[in-house]
Parts: sequence; C-alpha cells; structure tokens
Amino acid sequence: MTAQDKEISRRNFLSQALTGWISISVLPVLYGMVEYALPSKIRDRILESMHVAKEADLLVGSAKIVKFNKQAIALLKSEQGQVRALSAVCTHLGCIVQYQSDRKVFHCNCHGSEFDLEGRNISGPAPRPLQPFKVDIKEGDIIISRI
Amino acid sequence: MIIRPSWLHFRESSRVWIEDRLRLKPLIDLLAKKLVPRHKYSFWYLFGGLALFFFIVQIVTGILLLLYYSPTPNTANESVRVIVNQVSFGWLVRSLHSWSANLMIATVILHLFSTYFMKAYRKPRELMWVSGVFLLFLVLGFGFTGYLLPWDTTAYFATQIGTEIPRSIPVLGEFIVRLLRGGEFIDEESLKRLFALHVVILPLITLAVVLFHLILNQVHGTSIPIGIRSLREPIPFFPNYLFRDAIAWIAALILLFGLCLIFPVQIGPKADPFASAPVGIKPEWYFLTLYQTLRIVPAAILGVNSETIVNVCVGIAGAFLLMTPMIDRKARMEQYSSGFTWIGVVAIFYVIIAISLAYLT
Repeated sequence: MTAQDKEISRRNFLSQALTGWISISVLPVLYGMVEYALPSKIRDRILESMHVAKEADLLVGSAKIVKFNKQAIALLKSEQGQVRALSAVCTHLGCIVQYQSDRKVFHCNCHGSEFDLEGRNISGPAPRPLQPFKVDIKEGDIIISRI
Repeated sequence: MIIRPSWLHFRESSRVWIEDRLRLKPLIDLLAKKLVPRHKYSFWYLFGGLALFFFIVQIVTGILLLLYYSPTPNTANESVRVIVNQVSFGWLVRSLHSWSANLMIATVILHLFSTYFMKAYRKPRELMWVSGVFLLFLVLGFGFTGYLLPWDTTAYFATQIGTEIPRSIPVLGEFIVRLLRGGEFIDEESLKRLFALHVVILPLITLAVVLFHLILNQVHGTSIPIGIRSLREPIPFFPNYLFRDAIAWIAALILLFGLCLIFPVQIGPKADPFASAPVGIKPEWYFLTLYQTLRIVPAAILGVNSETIVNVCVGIAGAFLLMTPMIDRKARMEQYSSGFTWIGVVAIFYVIIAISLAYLT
C-alpha cells in the first residue's frame, strides 16, 4: 500500500463526516426523548406534615392505615394510649403490610417479611425497618410529619 | 370442446388477477424451497408455529378489548367488568386474550428449551437464537405490562413488586423505576405507561423481531440436532409442513376455546393502594420462579441486599441465555456438549421446584 493510498479521499472524508454528524445528531434527540419520558419531580411534591385521622377513631391494640401524601402509614395505639406512626410500606418490595394483632407483628403477605411494633424487621427478606413518622396530637387530631 | 364450470373459471381468473398484481410466485417458491427435516424429535418444531398462532390471537383479541377498555384507575376495573358482563361475547374475548397469553408464553418457553436441547443455536443460527431469546423477554414483558390493566388488587401489588425490583440496580435503578411508573408510586401515570407499552411499543418491537426471526428461519432452514441422521426424506415447508402446522393450530384453537369455556377468566376487586396486600397473593405462573427466589434469598448476604443478589442472578441467567451460541464451543464444532445439556436440566429442575414451593408454601 502506497502512502497515497493511505490518504483519505474526498469521498471517504465526506462519507465519514456525514456518518459522524448523523450519529452526533441522534444523541440530543435521544436525550430529549428520555427527558420527555421521565416524570417531572413537581408531580411528586409532598407535604411535610398532614392531618390524617382523629384520635378517637383509633382502637387500642389495633392499627389503622391512613394516607400521607401518596404513602400508606400505619397508625398504632398502644395499650398505654400512645399513638405511633410507621410507614406501612414493606421495605422489601413495597407491598402494604398487615397488622396481626394476635401476634403483635406487621406481616407482609407478598414475601413473608415481618416487623415488630417498633417497626424493626424481624424475619423474612425485608432489609430495613419500617420508616417511623413523628406524631402530634392537637385537640384530638392526629398530625404526622416526616422525621 | 371442454366446458369448465363457472366457479372454476372464476377461481382461475381470480388467481391470475392476484398473481398479476402481487407477484406472489417468487415468495411461494421461496417457501417451497425450504425443507423441513423429519426425525424422532421433529415434533418439537411445531412449537414455534404455535407461539406465532397465539401471538396472532393476542393481536386480534387485544384490538377487540381496546374498543371498550378505559385506561384510568377510576374506570379500568369497571370497563373490564362491562366487557365481561355486558358486551356480547365480551367474557369470551377477555378469556381468549388471557388464556392465549398464558399459552403463548408456555409455547415460547417450550420452543426455547427444545431449541436449547437440540443445540439448534449453533452456527449459522446464532442470531435466530438471540432474536428468540429477545422474543421470550418481550412476551414476558407483555405479561407484566398487561397484568396491571384490569386494575384489581392482585394486579396492583404484582406491578408494585415488579417495578420495585429494578430499584437495586446500581446507577440505573431509580431511573428505571421512575420511567416505568411515571413517578414514585403506582398510579394513573403508571397505568397509562404500561398501557402504552402493552398496546403500542411492545407489539411494534415484537412484530419487527418476529419478522427478523422468520426471515432467518427461511434463510437458514430448520436445524437438525447433532448426531441425528434423518432417515426419512425431508418435506417442503410449503405446502406440506404448513399443513401440519395448520393441524396443530386447529388443535391449539380447540384447546384454547376449551380452557375459556371451562375456566373463564375472573376479575378481582378494584385495587385499593392503601389496603394491605391480600393473604396468599402470588404472581402469574411464569413469574413464580422469580417470586420464590425473592422469598428464599435472605435479607442480606455479606452486606449485599436480596434484591441486588436476585437482580445479578437474573442478569447472569439472561446474559447466559443470549450468549449460549457464542460460549458453547463444542456445539459450534458439531460436537454434543453435555455440559450445556446439564445446565438446561438443572434450570428446568429449579423452575419446577421453585413453582411447586411457591404453590405449596
């Protein structure tokens, strides 16, 4: 091969330049499409605290699931009358847990994880405790907020 | 002078009219050129055609369901109830769609395993195998995206779990979850996205991959397993083998109608995102292996959480499937690779044991 053969011809140069230009042009198009498909964070804007229930609605030793933003929260009233709020979303894969009053545990029916009354993961594949929330009671209204 | 019946004349003139305009002869000649080998395992060749048949049923019944289905959380469950209870033959169309989806996935899995054990992925059919594995992923994608559409309790939590699993994938996890759900939670946006995937995006991709798979099948013909010496003469694909395919399709249609009549598909109560997951909740049979694996893997092994471990295992299994033709060196040299056969046998045993445990425990 001579040195002249190695030199890039005008046709090759234009062909490679066009291919490169098309490839580079595709990138912003792809970026735009992905940005379009990703949901806006504004949609998920959440309140820091919220009135969720009346204290009188809670029975001692039972749990009630309430809505906090778009999240399910379990409200639990102990025999001493203390109200506790824990996320009702299993930390394994996000199913809503069920309170079993006879065993005093939160049980996830999806993959069998269990949590105690403090929200600690005690069995099954759940990797973390249930997320706790701060509880304030004002004139019988239960207000919960993020910790 | 021979007088031909008028209907014969009409048939012949129609054939000429069509041939003049569509020029189908080269295509028919191409189909007839392909020979299908006959040997003791050739029965398994039927499953590819059966998968295609169930896919066609999916398209037809899916279009019919679209006439009444409404993809919003407030109306989805009710619109499926209307289809089942008020629309003429609505219950049958929905049952056909659901049962043919199950049968399509089953036949694709059978086709994949039979291809695997017959080593039909060896040179020059590597890309046929790769496109077939992609078709398996696509039909599982159909199953997953279609599952939420009736918006009932089981569907809701199955989708919650299914869309949560990718979260532990490093770097891309959060991105995939948000992209699938259209936000942080399963809601109206998630339903719209999965609906779009189910009725537009996946069908378009699947049609393209099916076409690619069929063209390669036509180009390379049907593989004969290693060591099999076909004693009988091969038969032309058109019309001889197509006739056998047609008989299998009719049998499949009878089976499909039988299942729909004996076990019509039910719809569960409307999903309540703030209710506990129901007792005994389980996914469809084709996700039970993954479900059982998620149950038995401990919360963490050496500091790595269970979802990450399962994601890595699924990733390795998927990559192994895709790369099989490239890594099975013996098969490439027309030698029987017993190691790969054993991997397949172990995989089948694991699937059977996991599904059994999922049902029994």
